[in-house]
Amino acid sequence: MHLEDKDPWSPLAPLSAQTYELASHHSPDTTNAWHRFWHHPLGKGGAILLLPILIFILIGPSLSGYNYDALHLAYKNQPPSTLFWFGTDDLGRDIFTRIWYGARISISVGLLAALIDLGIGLFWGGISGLVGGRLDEVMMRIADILYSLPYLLIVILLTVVLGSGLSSLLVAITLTGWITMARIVRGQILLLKEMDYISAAKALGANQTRLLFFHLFPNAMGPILITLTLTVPSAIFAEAFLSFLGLGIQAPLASWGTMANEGLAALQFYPWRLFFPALLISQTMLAFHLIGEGLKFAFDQSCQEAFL
Amino acid sequence: MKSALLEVENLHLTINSSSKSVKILHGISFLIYPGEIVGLVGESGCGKSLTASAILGLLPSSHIVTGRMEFERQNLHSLSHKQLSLLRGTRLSLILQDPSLALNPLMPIGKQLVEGLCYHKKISKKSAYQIGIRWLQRVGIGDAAERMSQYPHEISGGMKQRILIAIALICQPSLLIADEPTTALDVTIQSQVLDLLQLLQQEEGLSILLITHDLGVVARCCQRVMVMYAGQLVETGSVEQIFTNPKHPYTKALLQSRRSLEQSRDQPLICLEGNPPRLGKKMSGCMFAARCPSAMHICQQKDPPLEQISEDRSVQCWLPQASRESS
Amino acid sequence: MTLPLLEVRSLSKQFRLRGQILQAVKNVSFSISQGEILGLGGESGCGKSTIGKLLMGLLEPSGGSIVFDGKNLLDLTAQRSRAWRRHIQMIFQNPTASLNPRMTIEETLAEPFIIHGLFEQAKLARRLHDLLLQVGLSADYLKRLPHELSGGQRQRVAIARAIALNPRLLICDEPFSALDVSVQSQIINLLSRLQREQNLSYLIISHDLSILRYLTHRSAIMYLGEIIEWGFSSDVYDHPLHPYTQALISSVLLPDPIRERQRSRVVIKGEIPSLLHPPSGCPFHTRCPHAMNICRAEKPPMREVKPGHFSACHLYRNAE
Repeated sequence: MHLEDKDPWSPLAPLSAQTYELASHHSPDTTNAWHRFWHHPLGKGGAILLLPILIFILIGPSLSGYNYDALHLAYKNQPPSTLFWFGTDDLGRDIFTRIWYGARISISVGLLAALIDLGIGLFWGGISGLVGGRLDEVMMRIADILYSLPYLLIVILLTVVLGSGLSSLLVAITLTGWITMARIVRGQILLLKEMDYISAAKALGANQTRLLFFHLFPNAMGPILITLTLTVPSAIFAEAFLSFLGLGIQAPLASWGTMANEGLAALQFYPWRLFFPALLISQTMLAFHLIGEGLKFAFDQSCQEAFL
Repeated sequence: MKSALLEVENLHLTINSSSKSVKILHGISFLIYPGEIVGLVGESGCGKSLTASAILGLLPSSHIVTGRMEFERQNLHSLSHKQLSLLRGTRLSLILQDPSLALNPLMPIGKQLVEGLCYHKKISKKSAYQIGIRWLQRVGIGDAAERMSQYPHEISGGMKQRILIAIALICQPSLLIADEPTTALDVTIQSQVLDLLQLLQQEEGLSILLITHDLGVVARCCQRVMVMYAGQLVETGSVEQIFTNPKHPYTKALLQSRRSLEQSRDQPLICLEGNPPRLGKKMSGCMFAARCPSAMHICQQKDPPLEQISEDRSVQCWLPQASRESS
Repeated sequence: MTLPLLEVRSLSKQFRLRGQILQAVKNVSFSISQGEILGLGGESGCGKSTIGKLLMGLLEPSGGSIVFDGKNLLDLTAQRSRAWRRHIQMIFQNPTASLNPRMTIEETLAEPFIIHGLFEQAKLARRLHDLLLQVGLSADYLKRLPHELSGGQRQRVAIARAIALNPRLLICDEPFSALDVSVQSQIINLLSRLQREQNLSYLIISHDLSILRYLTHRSAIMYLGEIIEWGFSSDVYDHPLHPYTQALISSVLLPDPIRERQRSRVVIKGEIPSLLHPPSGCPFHTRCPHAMNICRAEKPPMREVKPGHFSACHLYRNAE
């Protein structure tokens, strides 16, 4: 546009209404939550810590070449060496292979438990928060009562009734785990249902289901996702703890908890047997916590303006 | 020639974030003399609150402030944090828009009122308390002695704002910056609070920088007014001059759109098209050109100059020069 | 005489607050005809927003009736009531809060059609396009999210959503107060134009009396949950009868320093009383410059003081 030839004092052609709108409209904000997550050191750190674990879960056992239950009786209780990278346990089994087998179990139990918690929590918290009134009171009191029951006693009773194994383990972990998620969901919904866009949707005739799934849950995603990310490590730890107590996974299957249990007995003489499971439990939990922090940061500001 | 209480010259504000550097205020210059109420009027996002924060030194380190700022002959840039904070509350005070957010909900009113007094003037708690009670009476709060021990949640919005005025004035500052002090209040209460501000201003001889978006407030209280748009002062002058003979097209449009409410419903309101530019977006030339009904080609090419029409009157626009060119 | 579009009779709403009763709306009656704009003015706590929510079905009334196009909305079952409610839509004060931040403009505008099953894919796109044009936005905005729009643009989207189903009555709850002055005028003009084009009725709830005076045909002024004066807007705002209305009008600041500083003002003292402990008799007597003994003892009835101009005040006890 060569304005030099135009008389500078001549009137500027009025911009059309369309150009008015576009000339001053706010440019699309490319800094969405995903972007922001990767820019935060904590979130990135968590992802970096978690990545090698995930990789080794996949390729670990094949790398070492051993089976998790293969006995090498000549090499009982060997410290870490080139043959056995993490050493061996008292039955000569390769700890490296068992760690990654255990990882599969521990992490899948953790993820599964977290998802179950999510499902129940969304349902319970969603209905309680949206409907409110008497129903809300009743539902929340049930949750409160469940929450205050002595956890360990219940788990022991359950194991007696259901027998030990994966399913009873899952039941034990999720029995009270969903309550935190339900409370978070309910809290978010109580907050959001006062917003004008909810009133507007109601005014248009939206029913409760539509309100929940199209308006409330999507906007509550931030805290829900964060809680989900933090539920995983507590589920992993719960599994480890229960297996450690002998209530969860049984031999010859390995989980980090069972390995830690076995390792504790031999701590004085063969410390690596406790060291590796403990290290990996800690690293995984830390990784998920850091990812949770990163998510908190990412979602906290996704609705704000670029630089305010 | 009395000397100015507050001198601001060429104030620029840039915000540095991790990814970019955004210029918010572009060359703000003005003076405030003792004993006058000056209005700073503009719409949301024009930077008026940021200007106040910049003067008071309340901005985080990511906000870079350049330009000369002198208060009572002291260069505000050269003061340390401690000196600045001593200045705030004693010589230079601030009241904000939402009174419910400005009071500590866990502390009784009396304590918050005399806190500053005790800290800055080293007066005994007892005498400070008495001064506090007298100030509550001055701002029109009945049962002042009882109110001193009440908590903010026991008090209405209008009364909270009066208490905030008392807190701001108890150390007898020479300049009060009031940022939208009545926007959150009901209309009848707004009237009372504005009357109070004017009364105290006369009694104490203080100056007030009254920041508002409401032209009516300016018409009622201010002697001089500055109009702000997109981080720049587009017009300054006395209230009579600006309201009867606005020179900048933005000021004209603001006044016309508000005044056209008095005509009949059949006539559409005179209004500005488009939206105010987002803070920080700098376009070449005049920021208002896209919406200006009198825009010329030069307005898009070059920044408009500051035209000093008379001693107290200035406008940042190409129109005065254009009319000189044509004659 | 055709039936009014909306007739509200003795509407009231109570809230329970820590065991005490809060009377937010007390015995309110008014009517709106098709094509009429009614203003509801007053300060905070007067109940005007509550009335908006009651009419929208967002709150359950404690008493009274809401008759829309001859049907008492409170008698209908929830199902049928929903069908009728699409004829009454609402625009809210905060344009940011009234749009779902996670839905694009297209999704937001399509929702009314989806809920009522009134869409065919091909026609819907065209209809949304036209809706946006009607409120002065280009179709480019369909794919955007609310945070990418300015306040005025968001309010236009909210208006587009409200008129999508061709309602008969639009309730506007403080639609201008969150907008800049220059944008307020745009929205006022937009609402004015839409009203003329579609013969809509509006209930405009606002504390800005200058806007009410310009935009409305008739107005009602509320104080502490009751209507204390109503009539044609030119009468109410230019010749207010009730001392509270007079005080309100006198508190409106004019953008004119000479007029503003020279006018005589009605100064009322004190604060708005708490709704939990309303004054006896006339609710305004605690602050009224003309209060008499009878004002404390007896609540004044609503009287037609002048043709078409009503006020509830003992000063006019000899009017009828």
